[in-house]
Amino acid sequence: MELRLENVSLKLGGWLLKNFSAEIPSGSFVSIVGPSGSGKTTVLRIISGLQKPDSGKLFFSGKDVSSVPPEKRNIGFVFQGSSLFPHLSVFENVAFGLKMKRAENTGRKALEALEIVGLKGFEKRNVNSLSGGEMKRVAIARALAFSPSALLLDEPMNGLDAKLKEKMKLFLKQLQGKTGKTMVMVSHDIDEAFSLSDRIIVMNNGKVEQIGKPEEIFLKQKNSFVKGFVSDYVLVEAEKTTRNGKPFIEGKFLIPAKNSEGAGKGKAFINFKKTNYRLEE
Amino acid sequence: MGENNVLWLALKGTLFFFFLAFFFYPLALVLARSLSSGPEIFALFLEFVSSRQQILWNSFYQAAVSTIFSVIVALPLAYVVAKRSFPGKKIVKALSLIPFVFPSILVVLSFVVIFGNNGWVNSFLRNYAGFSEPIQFLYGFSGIILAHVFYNFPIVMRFVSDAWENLDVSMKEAAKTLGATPLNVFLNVTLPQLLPSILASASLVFIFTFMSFTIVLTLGGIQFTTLEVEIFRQVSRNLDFALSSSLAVFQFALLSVAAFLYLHFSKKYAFGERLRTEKPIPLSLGSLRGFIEALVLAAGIFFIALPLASLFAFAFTDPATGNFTLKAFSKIFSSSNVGLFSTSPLDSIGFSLFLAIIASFTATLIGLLASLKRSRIPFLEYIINATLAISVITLGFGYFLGYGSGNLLIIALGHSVLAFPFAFRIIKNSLDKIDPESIDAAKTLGATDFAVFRSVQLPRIRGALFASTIFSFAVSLGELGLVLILYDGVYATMPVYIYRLLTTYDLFAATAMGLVLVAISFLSFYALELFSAEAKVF
Repeated sequence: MELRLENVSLKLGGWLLKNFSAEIPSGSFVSIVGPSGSGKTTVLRIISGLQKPDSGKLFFSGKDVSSVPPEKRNIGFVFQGSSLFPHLSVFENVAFGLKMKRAENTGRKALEALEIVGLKGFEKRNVNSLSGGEMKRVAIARALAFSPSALLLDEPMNGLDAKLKEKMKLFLKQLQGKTGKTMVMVSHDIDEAFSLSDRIIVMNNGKVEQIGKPEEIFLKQKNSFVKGFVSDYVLVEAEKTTRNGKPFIEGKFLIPAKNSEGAGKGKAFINFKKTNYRLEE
Repeated sequence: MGENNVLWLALKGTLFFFFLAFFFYPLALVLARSLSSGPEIFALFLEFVSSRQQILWNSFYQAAVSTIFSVIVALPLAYVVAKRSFPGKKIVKALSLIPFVFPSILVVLSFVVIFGNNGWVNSFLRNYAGFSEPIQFLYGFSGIILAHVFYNFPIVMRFVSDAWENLDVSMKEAAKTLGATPLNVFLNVTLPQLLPSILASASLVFIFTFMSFTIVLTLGGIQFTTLEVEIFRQVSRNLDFALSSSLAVFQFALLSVAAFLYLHFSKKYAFGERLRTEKPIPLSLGSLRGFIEALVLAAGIFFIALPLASLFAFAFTDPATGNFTLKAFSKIFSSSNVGLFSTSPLDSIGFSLFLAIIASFTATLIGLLASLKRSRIPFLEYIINATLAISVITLGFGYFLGYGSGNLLIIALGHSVLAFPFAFRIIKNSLDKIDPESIDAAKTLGATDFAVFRSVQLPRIRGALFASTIFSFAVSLGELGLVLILYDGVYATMPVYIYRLLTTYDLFAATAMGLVLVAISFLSFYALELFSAEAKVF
């Protein structure tokens, strides 16, 4: 489902959003990045209907849904904290949306969702007995089970340790492959957004600073804010290749040195996080 | 959605109507009555103030002295409770609920048993110390102070010990590294941080003792009267509604100041939950200090337990032989006793239960509606703050003007108004503990506001709803003032019955009836404990 926000503004004390416009194509993975307090989560809350904007319109597949209440929007929302219902089991949590929507085959669909997130066999577990990563996955299963038209993820990697973070990234990438759903992720970390997204929205002070493909954000910054936001990163063009039968990515790069000590001749080392790459078709 | 909107609107309307009919309307009548006599009322009021200024002075004086002694008794105990761990600590903390649930008429009754002219102390002095005359201690100022301190020091203890427990230890440590001696630390770091809790609880105790009714009515007699009791006499005996309404308005104005102080200090007293606090260390009898602490604790528990224990001992002891007996109970449960007050004891228990059941369910329902976002009404905070400064007799007088007397249902609804602030706080605290994200999650999963309530909130506040019901039940069960002003001599509830037995000096039967009252309260609180619900009232 295609999502479109048109001149959305919200003022609660100060401006949370100011003339925010964005288009999120059907089946795409879009990340909203920006410093904390920039209004990222507010965009998700407005898409889900939890927050009503002061002005502006919201379209789902061209239909104006601005006045539809959250329970009728059919949007899956994975919250930042553990928003699981502590009085319900894992299965009951996942089946909650189906129950509310009086769906058929509730049991089967809930089990399918648990299978997608790799938590088959956890049905009867108490949610308080789960680890942080498991809780997150139950929350994702809960948001997926009722076949929402889009999935919103608010900082899904937050609170996970480095290893789990990588696992979760891989999982989200695969999830989108499997479900083909429109997904919108909020993150303060441009790394996460870079490797996962088809498109990145950089936000600051409730406004869009730049919308573009990940490489555009790194190569062609529209303004000084975006420049500053990605200034720690260097984007390197590379080729897929095979060495000794194993897949590799090979690239040449040029990095500006910090000062004149970098000039002349001699050896230097650069370290990479090797996982942080994205592949083009 | 449409249907649900109508439902919420209806609930909001119910809440609004309840407060309009049983809070604003009766109080407006009292105000209107005091204004209706025009300028004359000022003359009447001034005459009252000048001719009977003793009454005003009494109200102030006894409230101030009661408050000071409550603080003095409470502070050492607050220290031990906050800083030491010992078996039964939870129970000692729970005792802070005593002023709200232990019927004041039973406090009076037990004090009569212990300190009365024929009470234990005087019997002892007469039999073993050769006193020919009993010490007249209980009836009058000193007895009132004693009863008030017993009744109110647990509030101060709870406020201060909670604050003490939650003090941030890093400030104390910083002071120590800067060279402060333990005494310096206490005076310059600890005490200033405890002050808001002391002042907040002291203003609350001042309010409670200023408008204390039962204790002053029964122990003060004709010699020692306060404003609250005088309003009651003017309404119920002299039928002087002009004077009583102006006195009620005057009292409200005075207490509003104290209520304002309480609200001011209790805001300062609020503390964050994630501070680094000092862990209580086990109470040990090894040192002199530990021994004194244990002594303080034992004295506090003794003081609190004494009244209840005295009721037990007295009711089960044959006054003639000193042996165990059930005579007192057979006396109140035998039908031969009916003639005495035109109400049989069983009827009396029935009236009380009827009131308590209706009041507890109504208070809990109203408390729930007031706590839920969709049904609450805007000026609730003001209502709850105003209840601090509105005395039982004022409210009862308003009901009398608006609905007349002799209607059991009206009394029950009045009790639910008295219990509402507690019900509201218990339910609201529990609702606030629910993660707001999980409520948002339910909405995005397709739950309407009503479905959110039913499947997310309700399952998690069951304990609180139960606690609220039990608490309101106890409040209604022990309440005397509102019933006395409205019962028309017909619906003698258990506290009224005990009051009558007390005034006719039938202590034996009175303690038996008192124990029945305690037993019903105890059973309901025991049920609450079974469901392990937590009652957070402040």
